Amino acid sequence: MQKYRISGGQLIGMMFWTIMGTAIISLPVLIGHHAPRDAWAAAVLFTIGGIGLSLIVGALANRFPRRDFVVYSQQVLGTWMGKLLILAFLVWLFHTMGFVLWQIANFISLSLLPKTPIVAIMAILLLPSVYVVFDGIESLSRCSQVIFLPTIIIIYLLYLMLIPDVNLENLLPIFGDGAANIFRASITPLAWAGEIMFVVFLAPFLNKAGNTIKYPVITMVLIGFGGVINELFYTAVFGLLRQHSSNPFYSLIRYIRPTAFVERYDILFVTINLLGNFVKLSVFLYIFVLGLSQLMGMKSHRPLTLPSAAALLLSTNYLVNSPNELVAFLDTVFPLYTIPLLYGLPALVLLVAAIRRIK
Amino acid sequence: MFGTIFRKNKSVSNKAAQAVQMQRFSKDLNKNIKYIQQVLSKCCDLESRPIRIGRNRQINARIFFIDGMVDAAFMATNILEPLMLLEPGDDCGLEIHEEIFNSLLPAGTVTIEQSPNMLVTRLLSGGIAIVVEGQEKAFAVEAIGWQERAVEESQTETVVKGARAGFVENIRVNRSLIRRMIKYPGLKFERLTVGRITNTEVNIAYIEGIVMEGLVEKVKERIERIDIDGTANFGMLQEMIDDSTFSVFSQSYSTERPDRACSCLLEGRVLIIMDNFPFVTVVPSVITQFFQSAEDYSTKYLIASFVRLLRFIGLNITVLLPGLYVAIFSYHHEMIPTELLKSISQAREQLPFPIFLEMLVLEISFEILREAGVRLPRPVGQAVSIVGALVIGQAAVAARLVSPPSIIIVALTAIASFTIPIPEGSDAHRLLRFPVLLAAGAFGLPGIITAWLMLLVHLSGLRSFGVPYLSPVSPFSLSDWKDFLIRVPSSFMKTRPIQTGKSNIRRQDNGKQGGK
Repeated sequence: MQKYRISGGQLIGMMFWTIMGTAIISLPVLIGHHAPRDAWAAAVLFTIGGIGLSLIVGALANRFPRRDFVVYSQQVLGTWMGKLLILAFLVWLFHTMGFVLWQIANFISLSLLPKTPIVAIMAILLLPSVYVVFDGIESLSRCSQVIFLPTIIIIYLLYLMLIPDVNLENLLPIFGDGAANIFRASITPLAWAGEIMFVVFLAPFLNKAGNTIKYPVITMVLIGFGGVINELFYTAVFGLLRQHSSNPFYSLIRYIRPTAFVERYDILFVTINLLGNFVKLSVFLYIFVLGLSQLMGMKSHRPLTLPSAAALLLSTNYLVNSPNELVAFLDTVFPLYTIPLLYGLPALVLLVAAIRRIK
Repeated sequence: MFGTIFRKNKSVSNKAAQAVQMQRFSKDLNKNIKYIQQVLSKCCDLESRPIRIGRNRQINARIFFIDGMVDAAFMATNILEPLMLLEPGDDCGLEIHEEIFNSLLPAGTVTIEQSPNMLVTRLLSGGIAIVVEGQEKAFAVEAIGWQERAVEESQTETVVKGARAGFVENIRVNRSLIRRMIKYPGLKFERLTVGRITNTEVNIAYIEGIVMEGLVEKVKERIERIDIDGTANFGMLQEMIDDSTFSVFSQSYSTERPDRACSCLLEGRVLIIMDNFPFVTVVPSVITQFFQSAEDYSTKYLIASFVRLLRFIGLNITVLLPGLYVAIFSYHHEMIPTELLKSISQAREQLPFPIFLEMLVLEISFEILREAGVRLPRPVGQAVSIVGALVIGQAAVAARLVSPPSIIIVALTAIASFTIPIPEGSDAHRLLRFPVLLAAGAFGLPGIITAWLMLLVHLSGLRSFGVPYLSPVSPFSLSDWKDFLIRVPSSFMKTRPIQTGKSNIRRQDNGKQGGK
């Protein structure tokens, strides 16, 4: 294993955009379907779920400091069971990565490059990720750190520009959608929050072993705060109309009134989206390649990088057909297996380790 | 991989000198003279003069020197005169060579050489060699007197307010320029030699107790690793000691200014000084140096910070502006206000080429003009620049080959690229705008972002002598931002950069500064 060290701040930077990258595109649509008025409440539930998982993940990382999840999960669960579950996770990762890539490429295709074939767009989206994964965790963490702050600042500046359009009455009545709808709306976001469990793969690289819990928790709080603000703004600006937008954040940015110099701000949104999703794709690809190499007992993840990316590029064609299908899939099927896998896997390992007293 | 290809013919050098090998001087003066003359045969600049020294002028001796490299007046008064006129006392009972060394050579640097080859090396670096009959050793007196450039104002890093002196070709002058600024015994200069044929002197300078831990050993190891017959240009060596040779960014940077070199020393860096090269190389170098100029420290901090931000904008314009222009006008018309779009579209009416091709051609022609202007003799160069830029540009617009907005963008990019104070940075970024332009032409804005990300990934992985190139951006250290895109007042710069100055972090104690 490469002995690179990343700082806690870098881990937060990586995990923030790993979850936020597509959450900012997909989740508002799904939440809006079920609970348009109380969308912010779904974002709160999402945060609570994520923090719950963060505690499990942090406990796991503290229990096995400086050790690879793939290795100790096999030790805890038994070789075959461990291998099987890791394999299931890797399949999930590959599949999710595929539709994430397709989703971003589709967005770029619709908004900016309508005439370019989507495969070409996916290829250029993957290119920097392949490079950074090949370079290793160190480069990845540094890139995430560079991207983290500027993008967040720009997003909040965009929100500031929207303040004249905010109509707080759209938020009333509070809890008007009913508890059942709010819970239904938070199911897919909870699946998204499950991605915080990637920390178990990245924790061995942290420069300070022990006390890992705070990093995923801080990440989830940051994301949750951003999510609540997002949802509040969507509803406050669009009201119940938000149900009809297929990309609320994009619509929101286009809603900003033109100023003297810049006609439209969506260029900023596209930039942020691409930067954030570069982090997301890179972290996904890195963990996929890392997990696979550790599962197969390879010394380095590098030889797997390019083949995995090529396989991903080729398979996306068969994964998704249309945006509507994807939304329906994310709303119904996706959480059904994602939540058990992402929450269950670390919880199971922790539980069994505690019972078997393995340290 | 490349090493094995290029490492084939190793020992081409020194064949002439190795033909007749002589390990030590012999007692026979003629043998010694013959050997030196043989080694330096067909060297018409070798001068020799037989003299007789000692009591009653019985001892034969021979003086060798290279014409033009020694100071003739110095030789006459400090070597020839005492040797030929004075007589050693008779009661001292010392060997004649000790007698000569002690009382007959009033010169500062005299060495006694046992090996003829070392003597020849001394001779070739501006020494006067004295071979005495019956002695198995010889004297080498340093008497350098060649013509050289005086210490002049730096050409590449000019400042309005600040020290004027720049480094020169002579390594001793350069050393003294640094020593004059840092009168501290901890300032060390270590001598190394590079080049099997050229025997070029290379010095490593650092301040003990401040220098980054392990850096000196690393630099020495990398320089000693170099196996080359010779070079007169440090650029080649720079590439050989870089961490990643294939990067467009140079991982060390050269300065012509002693004050800048000194401030680098105080930050815990190491200087590499090469003889015959008027630049001093600083390692490690990180991204902050793209924005720092010596001028910043002699102007007020607010002005300096403003200028630094301008440089940052200039750097981004250099890399991104041509690409953004192409992307927006060939893919994303809706991004800019209608009025602006209208005026630019009108300017581009009836133009034969697509905007991408137009920009590519213009950017390349600018590079050609720049190169021609730099290489040609100065007066001609200016004429070429004027003819090229003004006349051709004007005519191209009038003939409706290119549009005025494109010319504006190219000119702005060109000017912006010169705001980067160090040439290494400016060159790298000017080159980088071409990939960005290509990406923009092919994929519009997403292409530019991809290109930018590739650059970011590359920079993230880059290291200069183990120091991450992107610091202090990432790994993030807030304390180093005080001298990066802004410059805080000097009294707030209490610490050295964290990456290089870790071993001795404080520069100022916590006492009060200023008039309060």
